Amino acid sequence: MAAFWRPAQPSEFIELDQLAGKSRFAGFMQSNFWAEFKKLEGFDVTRWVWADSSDEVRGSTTILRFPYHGESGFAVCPEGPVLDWDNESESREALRGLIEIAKQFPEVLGLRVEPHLPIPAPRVLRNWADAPTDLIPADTLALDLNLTEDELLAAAHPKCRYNLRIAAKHGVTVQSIQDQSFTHEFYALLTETSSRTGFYIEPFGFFLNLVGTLFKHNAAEFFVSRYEGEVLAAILVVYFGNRATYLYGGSSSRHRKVMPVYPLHVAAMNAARERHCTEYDMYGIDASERRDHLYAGITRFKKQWGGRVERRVGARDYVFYDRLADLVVKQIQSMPDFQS
Amino acid sequence: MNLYLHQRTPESFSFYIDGNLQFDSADEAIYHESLALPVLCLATQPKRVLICGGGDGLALREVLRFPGIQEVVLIDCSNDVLDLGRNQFAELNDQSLSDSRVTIVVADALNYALPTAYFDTIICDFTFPTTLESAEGFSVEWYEKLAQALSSGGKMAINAVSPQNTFDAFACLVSTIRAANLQTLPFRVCIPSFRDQGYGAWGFILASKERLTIRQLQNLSCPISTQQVELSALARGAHFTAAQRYQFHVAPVNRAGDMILQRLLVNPEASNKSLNFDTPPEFPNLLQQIEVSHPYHSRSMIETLAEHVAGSLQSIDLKKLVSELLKRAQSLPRRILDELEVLREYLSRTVLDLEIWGKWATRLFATLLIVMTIANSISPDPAFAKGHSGLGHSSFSRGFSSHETFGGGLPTGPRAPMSGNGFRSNYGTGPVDVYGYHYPPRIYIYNNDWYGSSYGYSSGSNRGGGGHQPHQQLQHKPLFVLDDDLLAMDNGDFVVTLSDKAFLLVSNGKVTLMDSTTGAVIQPIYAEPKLFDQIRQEVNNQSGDLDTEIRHRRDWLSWTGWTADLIPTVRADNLEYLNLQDLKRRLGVAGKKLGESSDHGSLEVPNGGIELFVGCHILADNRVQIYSPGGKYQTTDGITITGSDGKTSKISPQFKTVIVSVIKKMVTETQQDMDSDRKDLQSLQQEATATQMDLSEYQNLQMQNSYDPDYEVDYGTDSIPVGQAIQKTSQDLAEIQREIQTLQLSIQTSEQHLARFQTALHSWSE
Amino acid sequence: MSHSEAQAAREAIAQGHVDQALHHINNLTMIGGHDAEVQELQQRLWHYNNSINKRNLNLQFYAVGCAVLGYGLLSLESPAGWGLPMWGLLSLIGIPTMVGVFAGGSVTGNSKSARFWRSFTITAIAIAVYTLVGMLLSRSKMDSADKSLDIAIFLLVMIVHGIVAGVVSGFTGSLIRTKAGAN
Repeated sequence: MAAFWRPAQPSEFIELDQLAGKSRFAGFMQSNFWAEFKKLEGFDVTRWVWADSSDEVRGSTTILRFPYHGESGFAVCPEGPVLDWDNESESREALRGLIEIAKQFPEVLGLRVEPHLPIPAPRVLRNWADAPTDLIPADTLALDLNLTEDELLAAAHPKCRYNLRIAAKHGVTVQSIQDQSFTHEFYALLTETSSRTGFYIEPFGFFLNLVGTLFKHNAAEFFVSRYEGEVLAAILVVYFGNRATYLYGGSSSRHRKVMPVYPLHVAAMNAARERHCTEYDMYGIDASERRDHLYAGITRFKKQWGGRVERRVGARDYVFYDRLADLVVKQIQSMPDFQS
Repeated sequence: MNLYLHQRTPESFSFYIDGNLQFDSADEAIYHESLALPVLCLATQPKRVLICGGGDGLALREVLRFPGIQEVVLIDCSNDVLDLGRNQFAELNDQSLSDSRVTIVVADALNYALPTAYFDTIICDFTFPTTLESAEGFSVEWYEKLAQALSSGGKMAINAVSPQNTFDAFACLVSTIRAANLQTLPFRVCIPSFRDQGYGAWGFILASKERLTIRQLQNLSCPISTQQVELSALARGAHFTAAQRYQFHVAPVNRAGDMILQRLLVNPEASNKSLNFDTPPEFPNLLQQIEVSHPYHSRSMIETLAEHVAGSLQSIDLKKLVSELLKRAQSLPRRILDELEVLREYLSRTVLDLEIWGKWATRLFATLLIVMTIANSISPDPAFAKGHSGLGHSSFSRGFSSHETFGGGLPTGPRAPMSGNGFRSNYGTGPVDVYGYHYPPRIYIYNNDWYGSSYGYSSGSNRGGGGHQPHQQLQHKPLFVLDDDLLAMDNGDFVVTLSDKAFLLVSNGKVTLMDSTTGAVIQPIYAEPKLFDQIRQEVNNQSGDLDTEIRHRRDWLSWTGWTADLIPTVRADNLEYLNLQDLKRRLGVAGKKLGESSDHGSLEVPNGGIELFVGCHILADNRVQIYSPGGKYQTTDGITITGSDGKTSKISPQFKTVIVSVIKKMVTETQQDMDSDRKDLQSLQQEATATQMDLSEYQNLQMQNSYDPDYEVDYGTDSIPVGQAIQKTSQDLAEIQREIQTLQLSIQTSEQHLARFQTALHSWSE
Repeated sequence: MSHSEAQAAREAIAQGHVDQALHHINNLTMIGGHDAEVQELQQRLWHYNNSINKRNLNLQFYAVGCAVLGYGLLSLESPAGWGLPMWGLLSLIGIPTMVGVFAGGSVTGNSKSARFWRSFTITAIAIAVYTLVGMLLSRSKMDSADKSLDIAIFLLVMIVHGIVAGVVSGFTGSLIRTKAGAN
């Protein structure tokens, strides 16, 4: 039966959350809470349902745009759209429909999708260009939470178990917190980590909005490790569908030898199990494990936990060449020697 | 709306809406007295007041304290904020929301019908506009509506934005209010909690149909006392320079359909200047001209993004783009079109090679890069740049591996030089790199005068890789990480780390293989000129960066250096400057100490040999050949060592251990590289298989449809003639296969090397 | 008698003693001096005053121009670029002195403090602006800096520079004696 896109009604949002949560092709960025968060961040958020003529819902998507005065950007389906990507003809029709929806936004230069599809990219994305950036890391490591803690650690690298023992020996404790007020302390850890590594973090207001929204929906938790009463490290884990995702983490430069980070993940995985999650996403590695990759150190850490490497196709763009040509012409026309 | 109340103590709290600080109980009176009292004082016996926004009740508190107020209408769209105002903020706002004179309307003020010429005073206390939608509350249409609601002689006060951090946006607001036929008097106030959040000094704008002057602000006569603001001092904040006052007149107006305010807020340096293209375009200069669209973003992120856009342009259908451009022939001059016509023809045959193209085709590419970079950067999302391989030190972990800190918040781009803190208090405690990244400390032990009598050419005591025992072991620390495995030491030597047991010491034109466990000299090595050139190049490049940073700090300290005793941050800047100078000096010493290579002519890798390190090769028969200064060499099978004169002796255990460690490391690294390549190969092969299947399918369809040229097939989400689909798919497949071949070659080489290393290791370990 | 008053008035004008000249002109009027003569003397005094005012204004412009030009030229390089001794000499002594000479000379009357303050103000403002711009520019180039106390630093350095240069300028200005204004 043919299907078509229509705007989603608020009464359908819970159903759409369940649909996206169950889909192995989508992630938390297709959730209600993420849509709410992006709205706070100034994005224009529209929700769409892919339904057939009997209104059976077969797919959905959130589309994000960031309206910016005078410039064109992309309409984005982050970690989506939620479709049955195994069904080539249906996903093709759905994408075509999405392209038409994206064209309705005059300032949009193209449509970007980012489903959880394993490589190689399916045929239906053959004419979609590789996007220069991904919203989520294309390669990641997933731990199977169907295993018990003991089973999981048995499959982990000995170094991981060793570091956990060190943490235990030093009496590192872990607490889970679902209180927005911890955001201040968490941000201080992030700032310290950022100044140590030189890498980028978002502004404080971003985290206030993120944590506020996630906690409102009971979709996340902080896990905090302490040593002799001092907070040494903390992570933020997001829960959606059957997957828990380790989204952000920060640590102090002090007492690093007590390995405060390791017990955090064990606690997070246990909490995820209690929420009936079957996977713990370590959120980003270099799947090729190149020695000189920017993620080399991070990859080494995460791979210590074992798990399954996922290589995904990443974000893909459908470019509106007519609009791109218009922009290029406008730029060329503005060049000083254009008329000469 | 995300409302967050950060309660520090029962009486002390701060309130945020959507991540933005609204007020802090410690100094909110500065804000609300500055917003409400001047306008009430300037209005003629105000009786009826309108407050838009301000559901926290704090501006209302000030209004209600003012004598003669009979009626206040407060319009706020958020029930939640009003609830907070009635409850958590009640003590702070003196229960203003419960006052009988107050009518509260829960509505969107922009769409609320206001009575004409009714209010003596209007106070606009909207939240900071971060979106196009919220910028409507700062539009000329809105101010026109408010002006109509003002009574004759009425006055208005508007919560603006920061004239300090976002002056262009502030000027835009002033200009917008003027465009609504109102006179304005802007002024700024310092609110400590706002300053702590990085918002800068905050701005307010008084508006009226009649002229407003600074003198009026100076001569404010307020019938009520204030808690935190000295009203007569507010006028000081109303002084702006002539240039700034000029901006108030010429800044763009924020209006429906042209919400320039949002752009000016998220990008305080926004400008509408057109890009300046050189011929040919110098990409670094071009990239400098792309605006940094968000406070979230940095210049280096934009440049990294542009690099990745450049990479991804390969998958853009350039032919299609050029065709679209040609459709717009009327908008482009003939000479550009001529070039584009030929370009289209060229693209149908091969991949773009900018080297051979004229200026307009190159500019097209550059323009495309700019347009796509901007399109990718206007969203504030922190995005993951694909396939970025960064500085990465193979043997020098960046502190992530065994002492793992965290893994989330993945890096999104390179850092600016000297951006880390390694040149501040950490300097000297461990090596630091050009980014200021500070590494865990390491020690290298060797005799300081190793290059003196320990050489022993004449005595031959170093034959067999003699384990020369220095009589005085000294500890040396690496100071500066120049590159993977290349360190500049504190005493001016250079160290090339080979393995955990061995390193090369490079200094005074000489190279020596050293045992890193004992600090013993193992063997003087042929001083390969290329190695010296590489080190010198690296030192020069990074010295250049150092020079720039030193100059910046010197300039800064030439202004402020004398305050170092008083101000800790200047002390830290001074320390950093001294440390950078120290490093520069030491690098200079090291560069001089490096000297010219004492040997001339590059060594050639023997037939069938593989380089283990400079001056040392594994031969086809797994013996190791090591070159001494002067070009003589020795060959060893791990048991005996034979000189080029044919004389043989037993190999020293130290030498053997060192060589074995290097081979082990090569095994590990080669295995790693090979594994990485294999993983990539697997992905590519999957892609090739899928592409081949598609190609076969298209070819079958073409055949089945009797080669009908108009027969269309699905190519991704497009429908195109099957011939075109075959052509595109063939090109894709050819590209993938080229990549596969390259990788296979690399894997093959690695396999050969690995086999050799493993065999050598096996035979050496026996 | 009228002749001596008129003569005295002329001498006073020639020596720039405006008050004395006015006194003699008043006397001349009271003792019945010729109207034409009184008028001529009044006009002469008026022209004299005018020329002094004009001269004062010009000198003020020169003072400001000197400050602007001087610090503008200095701003081509950072203090370190000029060499701190040279910079100190120029910015804290050389330019303030020149400004003081012009600004001091632009004040009529005996008031040393007026000369001091005029010279001080012009120089202090000029050097403060120059200092602030210079600091802002150089600060913006430093990535690793802790910029939390920047405002305090800017203020402190501006104020100190302003005071030092202002005092030098004011002192110089106060030493200037003008023909006009001696009573």
